[in-house]
Amino acid sequence: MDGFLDLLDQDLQKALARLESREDGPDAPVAREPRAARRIALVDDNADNRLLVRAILGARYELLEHGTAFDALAALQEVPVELFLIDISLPGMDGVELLSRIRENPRMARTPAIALTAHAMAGDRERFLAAGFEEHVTKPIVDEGILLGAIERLLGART
Amino acid sequence: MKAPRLRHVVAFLVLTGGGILTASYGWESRSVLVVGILLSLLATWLCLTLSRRAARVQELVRFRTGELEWEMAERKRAEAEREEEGARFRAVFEHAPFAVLTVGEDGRILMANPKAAETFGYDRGDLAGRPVEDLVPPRDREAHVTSREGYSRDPRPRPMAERGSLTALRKDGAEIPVEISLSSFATRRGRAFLAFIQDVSPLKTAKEAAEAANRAKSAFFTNVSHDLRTPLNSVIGFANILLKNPEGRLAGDELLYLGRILENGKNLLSLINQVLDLAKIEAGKVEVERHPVVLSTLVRAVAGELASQVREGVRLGVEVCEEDGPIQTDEGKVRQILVNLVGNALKFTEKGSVTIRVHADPATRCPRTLEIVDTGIGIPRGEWGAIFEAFRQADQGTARRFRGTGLGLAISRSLCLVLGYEIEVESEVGSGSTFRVVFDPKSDPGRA
Repeated sequence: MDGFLDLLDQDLQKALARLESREDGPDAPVAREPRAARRIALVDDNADNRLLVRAILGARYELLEHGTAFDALAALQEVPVELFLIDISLPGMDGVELLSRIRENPRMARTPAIALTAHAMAGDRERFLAAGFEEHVTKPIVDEGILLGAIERLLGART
Repeated sequence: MKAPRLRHVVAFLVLTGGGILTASYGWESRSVLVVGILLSLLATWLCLTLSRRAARVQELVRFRTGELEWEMAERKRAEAEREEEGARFRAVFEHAPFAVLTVGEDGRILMANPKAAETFGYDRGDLAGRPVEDLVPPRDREAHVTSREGYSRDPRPRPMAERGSLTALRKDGAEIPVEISLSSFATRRGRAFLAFIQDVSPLKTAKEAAEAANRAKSAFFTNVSHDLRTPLNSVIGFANILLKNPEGRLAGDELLYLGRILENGKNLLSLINQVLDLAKIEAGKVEVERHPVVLSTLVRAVAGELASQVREGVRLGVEVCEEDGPIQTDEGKVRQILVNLVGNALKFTEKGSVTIRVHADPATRCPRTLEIVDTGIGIPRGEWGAIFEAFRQADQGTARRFRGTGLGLAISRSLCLVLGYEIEVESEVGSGSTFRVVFDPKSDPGRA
C-alpha cells in the first residue's frame, strides 16, 4: 500500500516537474524570441520521407523527427512543439491513434496537426479531418507549395 | 325359382296320386280322397311358402354378405388411405429439411422431427415433453412465454419475428440464428402449435464470408494505393528539390534528366491513380452521390483548370446554354469524365480547336447531352469501340506520339455506366472527333 502511494507520489512529482519545466523550460525562449524557427514534430517511419520533408522545410522551421508514434509520445513529454506532421501508417500505433493520444494531453490539445500520408483514396481526407487533423496533405508531395502553405496557414492561425 | 316350382309339382302329383290309390282301396273312399286332396294341397302350399321363404332368406343372406364385403373393402380402403396419409405426413415430418416442432397449449413439445433434434443437438426422443423454452436463450425466455400466449390468442400462420432477430439455444449451450414460421391446428385435447424452424447460420456464414471478401478487396485497394504512392514520394519530391538547383551547381543536361525523372514520376502517379480508379469502379466499390449540379458552371470551371494544357494554336471553347437547369448527378464523377475527355481532346489536337458543348432541352433548359468536339487526328471507324477498352489507343504509333495511359476513356465509360449515362464517339481520321455523353439515353432518342 505504501509502495503504491510512493508510486503515486513519484508520478505527482514528475507531473509537477513537467509543469514547471513548461513554465520556465524550452518553450520560454521561443516565446521571448519571436524570430526563432518554430518547432514542428514529424512522425514518419520512412527515413526517405523524413529526409524529404527536412529538405522541403529547409531552415524555415526546427524539425523534430520521430520514427514511431511511441518515440513521438515519449519525446513530446519533454519538448513541446507548435505543429505536428503525422504519417498515418505507422508501426504499432497509427497516426490517428497517435493524434488522439496527443490530444488527451491538455498542453497539446489545441496544437494543429497535418496528416501527411499516402492514403489518398476517396473518403480518406474526410476520415482524417473527422479524426481531428486540421489538414490532409497527400504523398507523393508533387507540389511542395501545398505542404508549406498548409503549415504557414496553421501556424499563422495560431499566433 | 324354377327348380323349387318343379319340386312342388312333383310333390303335388305324388301326394295326389297317393290319395287316389288310397281312395280306390278303402270304403268311404270319397271322403278320404277329398281329405287327401286337401292335405296334398295344404302340403303343396306349405312347401311352396317354405321354399319361397328360403329363397328370400337366401337372397337376403347373399345381399347382406355382399353388403358386408363392400363395407369391409371400404373400411380397408379407408384404412389404407389413412395409412397413406399418415405415411405422407411422416415423410414430410421426418424428412423436412428444417426443424418441425408441435407444441401443446401448455408450452410442452409434443413432437419433434429428426431435423429438430439435429438442429438443437438433442437425441431424437429427448425433445418431446420438454418445455419449448428450453430451446430459447435464458435472456429471451420470459419474452417467449409472453409471445407464445399472444400467438395462441391469434393463431394465424405467420413468421414468428422479423428476419434476423431470433436466436435459439442448442443443448450444448451454443446459440444459433434461426427463422421461425408458426401455425396451429385443433386436436382432441385442444389446440397445438406448429413451429417450422430454419437454422440460418449457413446463410449467415455465407453472408459474412462475402462481406469479409469485400472488406479484403477494399483493404487490398487501400494497401496497393498506399504502397505504390510511397516510393513515388521520394522520386517526385527529391527531383523537385534538385530541380530548384538553388546553388546553380547542376548543368543543363542534368536538369533535363531530372525533369524527365520528375515528369515520369508524375505519369506513374497518374497511371496508379487511374488503374485504381478503374479497378474500384469495376469492383463496384464506387458510390454515386447525386446532388443538383449546374452543368454550365462545372464546364467553365473544368475549362479553366485545363487552360494550362492548351497548346499554342489550339483554342479551348465552351458553348453552353445560359441559365441551364441543374441536373441530379454526382459532380465529382462528371468532373472526372469531363477532365478525361477534354484532356484527351487537347492531347490529340495539334491545331484547331477543342469545344465543350452542352445541349439542353429547349423547353425545360435541362441538359441532355455533353459533347467534346475536337479537330484532332481522329479515330478510324473500326477503332471506335476499342478505344473505350482499358489500355487501348487507336494504334501503337499514336500511343508513342501522344503519351498517356489509355485509361481515361475506359474510366469515363465505366463512370458513365455507373451514372446511367451513355458515351459514344463519332470521328473522322484527319478532321477530328466528337465524344458525346447522353444523360438520359432512354428518353432522348432523337438527339442531335
